Amino acid sequence: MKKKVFIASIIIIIIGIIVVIAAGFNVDLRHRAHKSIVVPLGQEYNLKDIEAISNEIFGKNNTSLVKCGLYEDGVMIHAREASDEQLVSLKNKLNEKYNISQKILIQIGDDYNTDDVKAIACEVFAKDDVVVEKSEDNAQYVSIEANLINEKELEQLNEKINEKYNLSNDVKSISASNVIAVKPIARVRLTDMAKQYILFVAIATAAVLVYFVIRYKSLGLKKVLGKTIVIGSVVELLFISIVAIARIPVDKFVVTIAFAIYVGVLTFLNKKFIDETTKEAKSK
Amino acid sequence: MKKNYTLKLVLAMLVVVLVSLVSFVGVYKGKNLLKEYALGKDFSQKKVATFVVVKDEESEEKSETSNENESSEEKSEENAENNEENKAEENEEKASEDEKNAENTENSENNENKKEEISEEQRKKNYVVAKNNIAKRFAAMKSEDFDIRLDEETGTIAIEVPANIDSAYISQIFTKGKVEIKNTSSNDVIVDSNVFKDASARLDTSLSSYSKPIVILDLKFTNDAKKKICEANTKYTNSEGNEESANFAVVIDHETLYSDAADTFIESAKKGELSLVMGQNDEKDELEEDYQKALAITSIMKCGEIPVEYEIESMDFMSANFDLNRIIVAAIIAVAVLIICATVRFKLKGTLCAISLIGLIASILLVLRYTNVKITMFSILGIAIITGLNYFIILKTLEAKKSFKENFLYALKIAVPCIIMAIVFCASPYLQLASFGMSMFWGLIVMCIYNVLITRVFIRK
Repeated sequence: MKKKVFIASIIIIIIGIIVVIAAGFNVDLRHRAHKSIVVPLGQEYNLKDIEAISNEIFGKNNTSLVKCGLYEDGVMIHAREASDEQLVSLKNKLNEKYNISQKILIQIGDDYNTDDVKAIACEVFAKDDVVVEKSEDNAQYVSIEANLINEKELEQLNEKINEKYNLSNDVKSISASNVIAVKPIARVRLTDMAKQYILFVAIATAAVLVYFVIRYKSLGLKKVLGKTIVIGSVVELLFISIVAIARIPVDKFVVTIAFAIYVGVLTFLNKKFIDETTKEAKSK
Repeated sequence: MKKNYTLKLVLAMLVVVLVSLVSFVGVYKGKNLLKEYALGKDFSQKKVATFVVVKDEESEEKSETSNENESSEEKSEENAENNEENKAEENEEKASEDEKNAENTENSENNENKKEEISEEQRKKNYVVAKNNIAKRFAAMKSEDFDIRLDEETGTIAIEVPANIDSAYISQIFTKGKVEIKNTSSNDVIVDSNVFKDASARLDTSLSSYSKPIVILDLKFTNDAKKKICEANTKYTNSEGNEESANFAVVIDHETLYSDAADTFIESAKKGELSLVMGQNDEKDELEEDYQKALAITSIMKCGEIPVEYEIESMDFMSANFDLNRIIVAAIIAVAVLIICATVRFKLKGTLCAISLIGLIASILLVLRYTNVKITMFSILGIAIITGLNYFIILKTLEAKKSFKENFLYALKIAVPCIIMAIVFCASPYLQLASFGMSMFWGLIVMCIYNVLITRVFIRK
């Protein structure tokens, strides 16, 4: 029975190694290179509603959502890819659902016509009417009422106003609170994740091995060391292989389970050695 | 005798209920008087900072000139088209010459491409070095828990850290970290690299020489730096042509960290050490801030310069990776299963003993609150192991083969590898392992006390 289990484990490990060489691990979306879409909603919301919208746009299981912003009034959508059409669709659906409104403040100067700015805003936001007025605090600024917009719209708005009034304003100088921003996020290397554990796990393992060798020397050095190293490695590799074959997303939860298996195996082996030494002592 | 036992049992149950209530519900007097849990990055808000490479002016100039070249090439192409007919004859004559020229230009283009490829390769290498150095700096700063990502093409680095880390320190960690010793009077660089071999920050609360606690930054010069400083000219000639004593300074990225008269500076260099007061305060928070600042400087000095200059692009707050409520629900289900199993096997005795597990978990959580152990996935694993171990002791004792004491000692023997791991991991600078070590360490201590005081009473026949 033990042999059969061992052989089966070895076969699974070999298949796992082949899968890893051929296709690698299925790294969790947040840990691989992806697009992060930051949506500042500026109001309370239900994450499940937004999850439904993002599933509809980006496809199910292609996104991972997390609340963001200091007051958690925004949402960060991690998606494999995000096309312009998808972003426009996301913006429209969120505007429809939450009716988001904001005031965009742009510094133009003393000499500008709100009707001209209104025409530009209507063109950029593809609307028939947009409320545009001189800012109450400082007339040099124009205040444009808008819904949730994306970075491209803001850039277009800035470009057209710059062109119209011969300005050189940077987009960053515009005060707008609800702008969807898309950032490319690089992957986290699995080796970087492993680096945090390797040294101390190696030291702990070496210390446990030394303890085993001293404490259970009556069982024989080869047997104790051999069993610990072989069983420990096989169980851990078996788990990793199953993760690779079943395409389970590798994230911190999987790392925690791998660590739990490592602790469990060493504790189990210790119990086994205690029982064996007790049996041996009794038989003597 | 039986009355006495019943009284003890009731008291033990009351203790379990009380501890559970205090730990899980809290003690309220207007607000919860209990200390809040220190949650790790897994369960608390975090910051995601994105840093982009500052574009080198030289490379920008190069790209601009290459653009200019491209446009001039376009213009020449246009001119060539216009004059095509006129030059037809000339072209025929010069055909052989052109062929030769083309060959030469091809060769030179190839060489240029090779140069660009090499510099591209070097650029990517620099990004990796920068990322590794920044990771080292964060580890040296005992930031404990961070994820770092590098976009190898653009060099953009995104780092996820706990939200309580000050944004100013995150930016400080990304500074280039070029440490120099300068003669500030003449603006001469005395030592331009490898200035300090070690740096450390410490908090002096002894109040022996200062009225308030202070943060001290200890710097140790390398032998090379010592030699160069001692050999440096301590005088300089001012604008009026007079010779005066110069000032020497420790400069990080063109900002002076410390400056002193050259002679005093040389005295410090001869000793090989420089101790700088980085802050003095009564307020704990401000002192902590000064200490963090000193730690950031030590991490920069220890890990060295980064070959790329970064500037911050964005800093976003993000909620936790894991939903703590889900973990709590999973834990409740697991404990319920354990209680049901014990009840099925050992009836009421089993129920009572298994319920004592709830008291144990509550006690461990209370201790973790007050010992500032950060709650991470690994610390939850530590608590689960301790609970499992205690459940094992209870079941073994209820099987009535051995006494409670024997089973307890047996369980401790089984847990020796866990104890070894806990000790090793407590020394880890990384939060996940350290929190596992700490939760195991405190869990084992609480388990021993709790078993002697409470579980033993429940389990007694």
